Amino acid sequence: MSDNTVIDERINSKYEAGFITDVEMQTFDPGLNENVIRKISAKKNEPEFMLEWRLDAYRQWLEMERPAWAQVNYPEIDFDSIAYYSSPKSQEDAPKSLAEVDPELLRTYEKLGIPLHEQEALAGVAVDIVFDSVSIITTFKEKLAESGVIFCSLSEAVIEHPELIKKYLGSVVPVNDNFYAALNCAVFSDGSFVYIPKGVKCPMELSTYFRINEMNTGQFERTLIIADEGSYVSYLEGCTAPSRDENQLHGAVVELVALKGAQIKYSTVQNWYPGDENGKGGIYNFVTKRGICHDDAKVSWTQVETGSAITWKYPSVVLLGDNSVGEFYSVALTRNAQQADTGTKMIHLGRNTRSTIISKGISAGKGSNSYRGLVSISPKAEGARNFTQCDSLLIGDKCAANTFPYIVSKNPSAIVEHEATTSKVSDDQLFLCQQRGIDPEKAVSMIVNGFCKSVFKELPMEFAMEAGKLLEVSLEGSVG
Amino acid sequence: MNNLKLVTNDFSGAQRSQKNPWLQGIRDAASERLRVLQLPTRKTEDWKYLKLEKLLANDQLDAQSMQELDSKSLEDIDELLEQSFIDGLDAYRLVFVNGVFVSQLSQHDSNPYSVLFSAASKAQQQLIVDHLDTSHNYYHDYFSSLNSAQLEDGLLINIPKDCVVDKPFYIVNLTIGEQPKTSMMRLLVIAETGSTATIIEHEDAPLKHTGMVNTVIECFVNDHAYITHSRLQLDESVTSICSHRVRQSAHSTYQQHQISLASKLKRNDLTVALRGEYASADIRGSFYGRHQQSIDNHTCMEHIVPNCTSNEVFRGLVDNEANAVFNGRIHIHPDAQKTLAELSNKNLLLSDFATINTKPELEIYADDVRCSHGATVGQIDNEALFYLQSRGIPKAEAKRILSLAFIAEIVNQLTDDNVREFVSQRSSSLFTTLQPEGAK
Repeated sequence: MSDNTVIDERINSKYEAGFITDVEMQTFDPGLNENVIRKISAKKNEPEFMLEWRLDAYRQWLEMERPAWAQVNYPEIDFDSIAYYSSPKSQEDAPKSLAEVDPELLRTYEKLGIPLHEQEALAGVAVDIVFDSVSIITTFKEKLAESGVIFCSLSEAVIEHPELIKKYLGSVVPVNDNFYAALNCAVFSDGSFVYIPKGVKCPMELSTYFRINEMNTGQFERTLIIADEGSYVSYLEGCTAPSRDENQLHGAVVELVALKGAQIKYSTVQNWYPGDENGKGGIYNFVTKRGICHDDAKVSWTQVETGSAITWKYPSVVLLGDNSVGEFYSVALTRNAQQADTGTKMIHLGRNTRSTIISKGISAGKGSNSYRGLVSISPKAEGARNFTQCDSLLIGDKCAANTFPYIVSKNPSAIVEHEATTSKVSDDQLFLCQQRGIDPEKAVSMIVNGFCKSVFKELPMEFAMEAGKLLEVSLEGSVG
Repeated sequence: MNNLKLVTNDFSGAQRSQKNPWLQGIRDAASERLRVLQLPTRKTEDWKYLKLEKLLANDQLDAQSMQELDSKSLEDIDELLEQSFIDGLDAYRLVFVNGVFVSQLSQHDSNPYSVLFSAASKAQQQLIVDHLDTSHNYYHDYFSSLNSAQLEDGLLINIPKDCVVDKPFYIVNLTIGEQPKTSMMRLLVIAETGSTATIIEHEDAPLKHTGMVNTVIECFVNDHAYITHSRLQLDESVTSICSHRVRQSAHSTYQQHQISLASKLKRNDLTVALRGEYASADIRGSFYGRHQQSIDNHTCMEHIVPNCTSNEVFRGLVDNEANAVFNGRIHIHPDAQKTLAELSNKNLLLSDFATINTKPELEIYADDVRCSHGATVGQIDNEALFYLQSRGIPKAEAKRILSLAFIAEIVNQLTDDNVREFVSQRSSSLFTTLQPEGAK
């Protein structure tokens, strides 16, 4: 019942966000050594302690081996062929308002459907746009400041709020956590910093759009979110990147700190350039994301991953305090030659900690999709509870879906459940839809959307729409 | 630990006996592999939950020279040994003590199907050499290679075409001796087209003597053959490492029931390669660990061709400070369409200090398949416990009943009544010695 031309057409459909913005860039020569790090640090007017921190990370990174355990294949990365700093030139005389922003930049966002000037009026979302590596403009800053929320670029925070940076930077993901995290610590360019004061419910959804531009620039983002006691914040991260032949490395680190009774909701839509049908080009996405929950706190990760040639990403939650809650909802889609090795870690340390993991993997074409997760119950985690469900949907006979769930339980009062299924879009479901006059393309999209529904409903409204559309665009008609 | 290293690197074969020279090729190839292979460490993914070097520190990895057993000393304990065999089982009984065949304990008259490697005819020798170390996943297996490198003897069970064997094979390996013994067991089963047989393997240490057994089992189940295999590991004193590899051809069926008690270290590696269409594998196992014991079960279902079925159920009970590992892998190769694979692992943690590490893996490279796996870790249901207590059953006894019920699903599926009765008795007597844990 397949309609192969439709399948091929859709699977081979070009990356729609692929274009290059012609803005003058200021880029360091490729290569990495202590001098480069000193230069990055100087460029950003960083205080001494930051430079020391970076250098320490760099020295540790030199000793580390790159991890090889993930179920992904890619040529070895030459870390000396990457330029570690790039920022639009116009940064030098930073714009004060939207009107001053380089019109070329604004057009880029418009092409992506994020009209900045409309955004202000629209959903009430403050956007901290990261164009390559430096934050250019932050909207709604005043409104946030009223409630005491700090939302700025990380480099600004290093200068303005050194005491918070000293206390929390690297406290969740230690410098030597892993190879890519250490690299990030050494050369991170910029990122977002959020601090929500005690008892404050952040008045709006915070959002950052990331964009990778300049060729051969590894983008090393770093995000730090601190939710003080009893506060609440919802943070949105979304990304697209222009199409390139050179593989681009992205090694971000995201740290979330939820103090007593705080709640952090972190949502991601990732749609970076996945490479062509043979996997040439495309982004290498090696990300370390981790949140730490103190008593009664909650961290919730929601992600929709449709882009990147290689995704290597395990948003985790350390459930340190009693009664804390961790959640992970994920939809990962791979097609053509995309490879994703993604999952989560739930580290139960406190009493009565709870975690939920819902992971939906969809593989089409020659895509490979792995779920790799760890649920660890420490001896002290009385009454801990975990539920894990990871389902895979296979489309086409050349794709792969793997599941590697690690469960380590050291407490008898803990209950850990894991379920996984793998299936394809069933012929019966397709037939039922077609019989009712729905064309196969629509039917598949409906079925896949239904498959992912339990994750999409966790996304904030605007993101849920975008994610649904993204999936539709990426998948429509891949099955017949 | 030092002598471990010694063994791993020195396999010139010079100090090995030259028994059965026709096996020399197998020994040489294994020695060659050992030059590269290392003793697994905690960095080795498949062994990461075991502190292997520590666990094996007092064991020797190479088999002690297998001296002829002193028949007199065996006579002294004859009666005791008789008691350790399964009662009332009508079978071809083949008894090994410390890996050496003991004919006076065996009952295998009129058994045309099995032969020791050392007594094999020319044709059988050829058969053995053609099959040893050819099945899936043998190459990188350190302990299996160690076994092959020291291979002197073994047991071949060869069931002819379309033959239905009248009685089960009952293979017993006992570990006896004040001095810790290290023994190698090798079992080769070749079931020809359309044949049917039942194999019952029984590892035991009737005098609770310690020692180590390194076992390699290879089963070749040809077209339409049907093998039922029960593995009973009923001692708590012997360190046992077992590599078990099954190769199935079209329309064949392989059924395994494994009942394991943990010891200092018990490790079972099972690989089933489904190489013929419409083959089906059914694996059921239960394990129980207590004190500071370790038990590690690794299973791997290799679905290589379309239309095969595999079903796997494992249940584990872990008490005191025991450490249990379960790793179940389902690997669906490209083109293995219409595969049906299921895996379930349920565990009960009975104490605050016990650990369970479970990892049900799926690796799928075909789209038209139905696979599911599930794993749970939990505790004894408080309501069930309360129910029993409210009817006047003391807490410890109630726990015992519920624990036994948890593994009963596996035990009850043992096909032979005598075996089932024997296992039930052994396990319930084991649980009576359970300490009323959690009394605090």
